[in-house]
Amino acid sequence: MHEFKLFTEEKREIDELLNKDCSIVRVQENLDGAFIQFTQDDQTITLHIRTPDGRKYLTNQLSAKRLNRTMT
Amino acid sequence: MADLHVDFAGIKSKNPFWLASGPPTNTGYQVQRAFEAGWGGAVWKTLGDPIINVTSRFAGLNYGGQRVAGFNNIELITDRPLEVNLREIRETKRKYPDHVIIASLMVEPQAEKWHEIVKRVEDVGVDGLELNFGCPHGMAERGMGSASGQVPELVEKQTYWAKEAAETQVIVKLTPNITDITATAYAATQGGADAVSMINTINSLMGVDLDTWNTIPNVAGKGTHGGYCGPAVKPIALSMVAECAGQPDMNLPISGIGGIENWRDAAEFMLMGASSVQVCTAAMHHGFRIVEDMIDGLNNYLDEKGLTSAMDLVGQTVSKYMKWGDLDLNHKVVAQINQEHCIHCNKCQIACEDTAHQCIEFFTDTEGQVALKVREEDCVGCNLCSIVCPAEGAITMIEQPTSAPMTWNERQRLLSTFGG
Amino acid sequence: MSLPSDAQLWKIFDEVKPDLKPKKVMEEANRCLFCSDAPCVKACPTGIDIPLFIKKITTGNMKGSARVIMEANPMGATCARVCPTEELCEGACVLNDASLPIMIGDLQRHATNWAMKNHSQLFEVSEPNGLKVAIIGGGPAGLSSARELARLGYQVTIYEKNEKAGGLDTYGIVPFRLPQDIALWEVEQVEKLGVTIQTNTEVGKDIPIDAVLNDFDAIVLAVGMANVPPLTVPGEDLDGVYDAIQLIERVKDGHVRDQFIGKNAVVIGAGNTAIDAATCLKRLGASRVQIIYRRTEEEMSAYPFEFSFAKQEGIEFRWLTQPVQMIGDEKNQVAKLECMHMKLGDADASGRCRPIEIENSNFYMNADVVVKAIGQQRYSSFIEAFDLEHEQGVVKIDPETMQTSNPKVFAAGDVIFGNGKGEAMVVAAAEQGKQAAYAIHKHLLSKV
Ligand SMILES: Cc1cc2nc3c(=O)[nH]c(=O)nc-3n(C[C@H](O)[C@H](O)[C@H](O)COP(=O)(O)OP(=O)(O)OC[C@H]3O[C@@H](n4cnc5c(N)ncnc54)[C@H](O)[C@@H]3O)c2cc1C
Ligand SMILES: Cc1cc2nc3c(=O)[nH]c(=O)nc-3n(C[C@H](O)[C@H](O)[C@H](O)COP(=O)(O)O)c2cc1C
Ligand code: SF4
Repeated sequence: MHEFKLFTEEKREIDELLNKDCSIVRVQENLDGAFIQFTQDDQTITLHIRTPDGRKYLTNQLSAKRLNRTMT
Repeated sequence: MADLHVDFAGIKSKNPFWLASGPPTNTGYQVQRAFEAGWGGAVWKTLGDPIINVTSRFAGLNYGGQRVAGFNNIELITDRPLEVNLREIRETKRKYPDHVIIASLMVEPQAEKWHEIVKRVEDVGVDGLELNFGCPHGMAERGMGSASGQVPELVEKQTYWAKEAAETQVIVKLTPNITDITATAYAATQGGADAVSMINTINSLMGVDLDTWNTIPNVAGKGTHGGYCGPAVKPIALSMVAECAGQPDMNLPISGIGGIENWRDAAEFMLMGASSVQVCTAAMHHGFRIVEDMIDGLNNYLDEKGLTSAMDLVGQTVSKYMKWGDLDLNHKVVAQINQEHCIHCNKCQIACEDTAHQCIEFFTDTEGQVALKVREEDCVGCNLCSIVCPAEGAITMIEQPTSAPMTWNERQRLLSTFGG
Repeated sequence: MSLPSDAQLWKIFDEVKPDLKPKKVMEEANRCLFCSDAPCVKACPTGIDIPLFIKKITTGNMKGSARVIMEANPMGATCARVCPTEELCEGACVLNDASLPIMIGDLQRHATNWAMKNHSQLFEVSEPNGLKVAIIGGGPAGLSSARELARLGYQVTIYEKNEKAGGLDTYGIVPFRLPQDIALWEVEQVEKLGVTIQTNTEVGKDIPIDAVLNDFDAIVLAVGMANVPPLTVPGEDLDGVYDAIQLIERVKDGHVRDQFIGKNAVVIGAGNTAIDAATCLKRLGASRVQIIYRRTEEEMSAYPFEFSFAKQEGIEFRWLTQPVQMIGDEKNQVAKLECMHMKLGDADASGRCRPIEIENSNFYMNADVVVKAIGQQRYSSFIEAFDLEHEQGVVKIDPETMQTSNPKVFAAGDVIFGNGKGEAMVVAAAEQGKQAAYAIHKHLLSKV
């Protein structure tokens, strides 16, 4: 219930890491959802994204980043 | 006034409305009455070795006070000698040269049998042949109808045999009692068919009588599975037409059949790729006269759309019908309750609460009235509330601004570059 | 009550019965069984294919639906509102016994509303055939004739003495049952087929009868009936005494405002004109409205639904009451009505019991408005001037050919409506108008 809250939390976490210039190196999806590996310098952080909107958001961000990169 | 003429696999018809093979096209008397009423064509009751029918034969599904939402039958093909049918076909065609008569055929899966019947039937001047590979009961037990229609090799082979002898167009009528209709449609193509038609009836048992514990319908207390048709089967038929119309390697004209009752249904089938439509149950429910509104309604609809020909409709929606994986995941609609139209039955609330995503809530408005509203952020846009809502205009699905489109397939490709 | 503004006046004359809501329309239309050889069709004097127009509503073919209605009945929008449907189509519906009859009138109204809103051109004319027909009277009968004749290629001229065509539909049926714009839309539909409607033109006065007789290949006489006949009791010319038809005419044209507010009115008669006049006065602010009738509820010609509507509107009925004289005040304004009690005798020629005066039963009713609604007079002198055979002003026709005693003159509508035959109906006038057109076509064709 109130899945939106959960999603907002996930979105916040993703944004935070992306804003810190962490880059996504790996995304793995399995029965429990998506696991995103971020790296910054030598650090690796893994986010567990559970909500469908979160997983959708993730790929939209990935796609946007990719677009940005090809454009610059 | 638009032009309702259609060209179906080279067969010219004054309108797209044909009677499907069945009781309405049993005799010349009936087909002539139908032509008088305005039907553009008729597919004669399936010809073959005359059978013996049982009684009773039909049952209707009544739903919420409406009769014949669905219809089922255990009738076989014609019970009249070929020679009698042929005489009446000849006479009917002579009287109505501008109307289309298609002979529906069903014989045992042997080359000679197909050759013989094709020749005899074409001899009386039909406009085309329809091979009945669809009848799901009775005939199937004898290895014909859907028994052969479910086996792609048999469809191909028999189509080939019919084509060997045929000079007119050969339409293959497909059974829906199969997992993937494109398999048999493809087989028909391979066999040389000029067109396909679909659907024939769907396996069904209409019901069980709770007093007698007999099946419905029953023959001396015993029952057997029948063929289901009528309004209830329309979505199934439409999807099968859509599947076939969307096959890139299959370009046969399609005659749409199944649950067509009025011009709207017909137009939907045409948009989905059918260039003629066939009707059985609706004619049985209301009589041939229903074609008057089919013609008039389609005409007015084409005028309204600014189209000059019925053929302009054919296939317009086909390219919009695709694989799930090619749909945009980012597209988002949410439900909105319009208070001025809401009648407060609370059906949407309980539907969402119990069986969707728990996002319709009660609130007290400024006048102290209890009303409903959607918590939009949690709404997944499934349509359920608007489907159960009985009040016109009370729930609208509102499109939301979203990010650039991304389909499932695109997403999976993207993820794969991240080792997903 | 102060002087009503235009908006308020419009409000009090809003249609009593609202349009069906769209959801109800679909429920009701889908309830129709689409009977074959349906009894409702046979019960409709114009033979509208009712199951078909309803079927078309269910398929969303609204233009087709309206066309089916208007094809059979050029007054289809009016009739949807004013036909006594309980006695006609709805009375015949097979669902009367099994459930409830289909609301045919209301569905018909829905379909014709669509046509009105969408400015749909429903019919076309054929090639002109060079023949000319004059129609005298632009009421339902005349308009129906004109519509059919125009579609058959005739050049049609309607002569109408009033400022607007539509006859009693435009001027006679109270606005809260039939707004004037409905009737005028039907007029416009006929005009759009190239029919010339010459209004403010009374045949016999503004244009001689002979001119009409000589200039046309055929004539349809559709003048309807005239005003309310005199009661022939003393005091009839006092101020405050009205002819119901003239009164409603003024109301429908928007001329009546505040003069009935708080008045004590008595309406004489018990047909639909009386009911219309009485309910109209009530809406115009009369404080008390009584209908007096010399027979009883049994014999009145108003329909049961009209009677119950009047009662709902607060109209009081006094049966077995006959006016003897109207008594005025010093300003020549009616103040009182002297009446007598009646009893019923044996049946008369019309089959109804004859009312007999009870001696010495005289009594007085206070009234500052008296409305006479005891039927309609005939245009007898006009018919005489036309030199047509008639019976007390009812023009005689051959029912097969719709021809009067002058084979060039056909007649339809109230002008041929026999006395004592219940109430005249728009739908009957419309059908006769159509039949007169076909009869003319047959007659003139047989000559060429
Ligand atoms: C108050 C009232 C209520 C009614 N309510 C209903 C009802 O609810 N339902 C129903 O079905 N029927 C009702 N009727 C009856 C219905 O209105 C008539 O039956 C119908 O209008 C008859 O049509 P018509 O064309 O014959 O005559 P009319 O409608 O009377 O039209 C005749 C036309 O001819 C014109 N005319 C007359 N003389 C001449 C002339 N010399 N030259 C040129 N033009 C002329 C008149 O001005 C008029 O426009 C009602 C009638 C009245 C009076
Ligand atoms: C009683 C009955 C008999 C039928 N007989 C035949 C038949 O002989 N041959 C055939 O090809 N289809 C037959 N059909 C199937 C119809 O032609 C049609 O494919 C099917 O009913 C779906 O269309 P509908 O929903 O308009 O009825 C029959 C259907 C019914 C109801
Ligand atoms: S429809 Fe009725 S009457 Fe006609 S054959 Fe069937 S069972 Fe008999």
